[in-house]
Amino acid sequence: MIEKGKISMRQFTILVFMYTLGTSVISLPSISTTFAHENGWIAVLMASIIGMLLVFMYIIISKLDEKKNLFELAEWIFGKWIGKAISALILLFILFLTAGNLRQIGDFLSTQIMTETPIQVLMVMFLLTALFAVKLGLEVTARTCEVFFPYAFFALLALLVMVTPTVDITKIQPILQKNMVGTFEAIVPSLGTPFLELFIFIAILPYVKKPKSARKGYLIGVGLGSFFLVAITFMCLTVLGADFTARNLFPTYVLGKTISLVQFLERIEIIVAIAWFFTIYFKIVLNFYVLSLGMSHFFQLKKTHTLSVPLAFFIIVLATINSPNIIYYLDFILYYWAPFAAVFGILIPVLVLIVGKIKVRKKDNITKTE
Amino acid sequence: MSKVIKFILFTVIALVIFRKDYASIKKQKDKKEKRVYISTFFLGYILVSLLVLEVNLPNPSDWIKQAYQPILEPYINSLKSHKLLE
Amino acid sequence: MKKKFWDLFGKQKKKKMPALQNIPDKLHAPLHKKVEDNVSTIKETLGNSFDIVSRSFKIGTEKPVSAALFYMEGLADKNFVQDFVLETLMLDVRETDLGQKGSKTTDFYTILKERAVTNGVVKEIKDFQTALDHLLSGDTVIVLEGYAKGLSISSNGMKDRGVQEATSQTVVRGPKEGFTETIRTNTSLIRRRIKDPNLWIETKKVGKKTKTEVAICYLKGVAQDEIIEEVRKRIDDIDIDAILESGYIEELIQDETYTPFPTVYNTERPDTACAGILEGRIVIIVDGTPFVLIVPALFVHFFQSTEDFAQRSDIGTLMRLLRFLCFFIALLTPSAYIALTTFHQEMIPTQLLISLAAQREGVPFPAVVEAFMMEITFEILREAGTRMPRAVGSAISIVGALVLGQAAVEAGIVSSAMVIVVSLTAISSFVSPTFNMSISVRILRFGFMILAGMFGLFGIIIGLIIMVLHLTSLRSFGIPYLAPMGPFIPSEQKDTLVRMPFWRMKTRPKLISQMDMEREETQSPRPPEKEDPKN
Repeated sequence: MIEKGKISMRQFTILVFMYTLGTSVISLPSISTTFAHENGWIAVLMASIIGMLLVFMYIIISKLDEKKNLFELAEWIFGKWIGKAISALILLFILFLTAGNLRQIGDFLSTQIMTETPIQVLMVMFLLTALFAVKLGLEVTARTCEVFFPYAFFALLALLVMVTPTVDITKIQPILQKNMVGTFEAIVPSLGTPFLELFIFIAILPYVKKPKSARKGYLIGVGLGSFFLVAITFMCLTVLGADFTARNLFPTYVLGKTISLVQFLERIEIIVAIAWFFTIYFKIVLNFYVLSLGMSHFFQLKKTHTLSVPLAFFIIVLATINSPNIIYYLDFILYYWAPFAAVFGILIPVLVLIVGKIKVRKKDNITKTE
Repeated sequence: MSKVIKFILFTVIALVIFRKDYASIKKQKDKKEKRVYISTFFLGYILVSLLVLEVNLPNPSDWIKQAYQPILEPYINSLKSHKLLE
Repeated sequence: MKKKFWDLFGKQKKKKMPALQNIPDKLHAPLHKKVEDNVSTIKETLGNSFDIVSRSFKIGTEKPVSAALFYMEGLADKNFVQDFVLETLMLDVRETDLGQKGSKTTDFYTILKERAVTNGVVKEIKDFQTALDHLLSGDTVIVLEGYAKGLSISSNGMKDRGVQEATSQTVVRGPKEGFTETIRTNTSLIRRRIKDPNLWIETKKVGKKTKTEVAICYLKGVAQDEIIEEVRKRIDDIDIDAILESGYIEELIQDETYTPFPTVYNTERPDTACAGILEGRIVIIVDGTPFVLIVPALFVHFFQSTEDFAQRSDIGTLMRLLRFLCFFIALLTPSAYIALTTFHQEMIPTQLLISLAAQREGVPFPAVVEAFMMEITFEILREAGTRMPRAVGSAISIVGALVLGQAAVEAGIVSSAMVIVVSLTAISSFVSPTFNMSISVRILRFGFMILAGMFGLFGIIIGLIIMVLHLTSLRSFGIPYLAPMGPFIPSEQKDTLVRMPFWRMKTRPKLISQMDMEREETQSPRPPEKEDPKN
């Protein structure tokens, strides 16, 4: 094993939670509502249920060999060459994913908060901070995440609580009466943003102290994250209305703008924005970490972060060129991302699971006959 | 002109980063480790240089779009029909 | 050898300095048999310094043996030497004279060692090096005619300051006494508070020239053996010529040099040191300074004061929360001001924004420059305040308050809001109960100001993330620095941000001491149950 650090179940759960919220917390309401209209929150709910089922599958995969991470599993199950090829594909996907996430936070910051700063500068700053975390390793990242978790959790909770006075249930009525096809089809793009990306945790599971509680933590993290996603989508719909939610690129940010507690506490959306700043940060760090870990496995290097600096170059280049403008990227996320991610989030894991099960059974038979 | 200045600046920064970052790898005796690092670093350097020099790089998202377009045609059309906007 | 391109900018290879041969070989030589030779050698080696006292005398009457005695004036207790060493040897030994009559021993040296010297600590000396070591630490050295060895008698009697009130970490309620410069006094101050046989004190001599005594105190069975071993190893590894303050040791044994945060705790207060020992931490006392070191030191320790435990728990909790708040105020207020006024004006309530804008109207500088100017001015004032002679103190306060505050605002160089921000920052940074944590805040503040000037709130958040990443990556003697929060330990929250009542703090910190965890069994106090008068 290259990674020598160990993280606790609590840390792992928090990492999964942060990752699940990640970029989705600002973009998912818009994505699902675009197609599911006032049933957007139901689409997200169903996507989360499917997501949980996927997590069950990932857990079964990790059970094949508790000590092996994603890349080691691939090589062990498919043999050296096919395994390496699959690893390479997964790595390319994660590279693409990291760059995409970086682009998303860059777009958010440069259009909403830091309007006069060029997006490249913001992305470079963000990436450097992520690089620092990757260099320091998994343990430090997990501990840092633990420190920021209360803030992210309570800020989001506060957002949900503080907008309740303005909730208007009529905005989502009639529930599941119109646009049934659209609602069901909206599950696919909703599934794409956090749930099909969750497989990367198979690469981290072996580094959690108790494998059994780690699996529980995996489910708890995704469950808690999904709850927030559903709740925020629900709030966006009931407060802002379906049309407005779909029209906005970052509806959650607009939702934060509606908070007005006392006369004084207005425009505190930036306090909430900081919460998902943290979630996106940890999502990028985790992706970057797994990418770096995978590269080290691919080239059989000794440390997890050996290639992190060259990878940072790749990520920044990809984040700059992967979309000429914000509309292009949104279009990509809406129509192409989920099918693209499904190859890695569903197809490859299913393959790994089937072939792995056969392999394990064969091995058992051999040991039994001996 | 400003492109060139940016490029030179980036080259200097890259050199500094390389010196700092390579120091930890240099100690190891494994030659493969060094080779892999240097080649990936060089590749990354070239890519960023092209970006800085404002060369039009192909967009990988386009490749994915093109690859998936034929398979996903009906799905995308169906999705588009349910779109709230427009 | 090929010269690589970047070697041009890199370090040049060091030239080897010729090693100085300044240690005469005769120091390692054994003592001479003749007294005169010994006297002259010792005097010569010390360069006939005027503070060395050597007294030649004769012992016994029948067959007098000549002897010589040395001590350092000022280091040794003169009265003691006269009353208990010289008097015994010159007057009392006569009776025993070469041993009791009929005794077979004629070994005068053994008799002297075993019977004649009335002192607790007597050591045998064989060479000049040890003789000088003892002499220079205040012992009295005796050499005898005919023996190539001598005796050293502990006669340390240096003047010291006496136990006085601690000046650096003052409290309203709690013990007032502080450590002194003498290591013996300091160990006794700790011993007096912890009367447990498991309180072990090890001493070592560090420093080739100063030979400073360094003591490691810990509670055996509570402190982790690995940490004790680590401390021992790190102190043994020190190879330096002088230790003049515990800060030298601190810098030589800390885990990470390039960090603004202190990873070793220092205190002047015996009660703080004892609390540390009881938690399973290790106290390092250095001779010659009232500041003792406590390791491992975690981030939260720098926010705790002994007063938290002297006051009731709710008061202690509030004070501690206030300290954490002040840490963030001191760290972030100037940068938040810069970020809000330059990038995020929409976050400021409208009326405040109008008055702020009105104030800043006449100020020619951007907020970053303004903040930098004021902060640096304040740092200058503070440094001047600490270092200047007492007599000019009032001049500084006039200059600070009137000239730099009021006049600068009236002249339109800075806005009055900025003056408020700087004052708030300054006061908050004084709240920290430990000086070295407030220094780190001072350093980091400027970094945050630069980030805020460039990227607004985004920069501040980036800075915070980097700071926390750095904090979590730090370790103090193997213990994660941000411990009860970094790896979150629920059972330790009783004494982190809040201070629970004593009957809730039943165990010692988990990461620091892993043995003998139980601290107490006290139940929550309850009033005696009274019978209901109605019945």
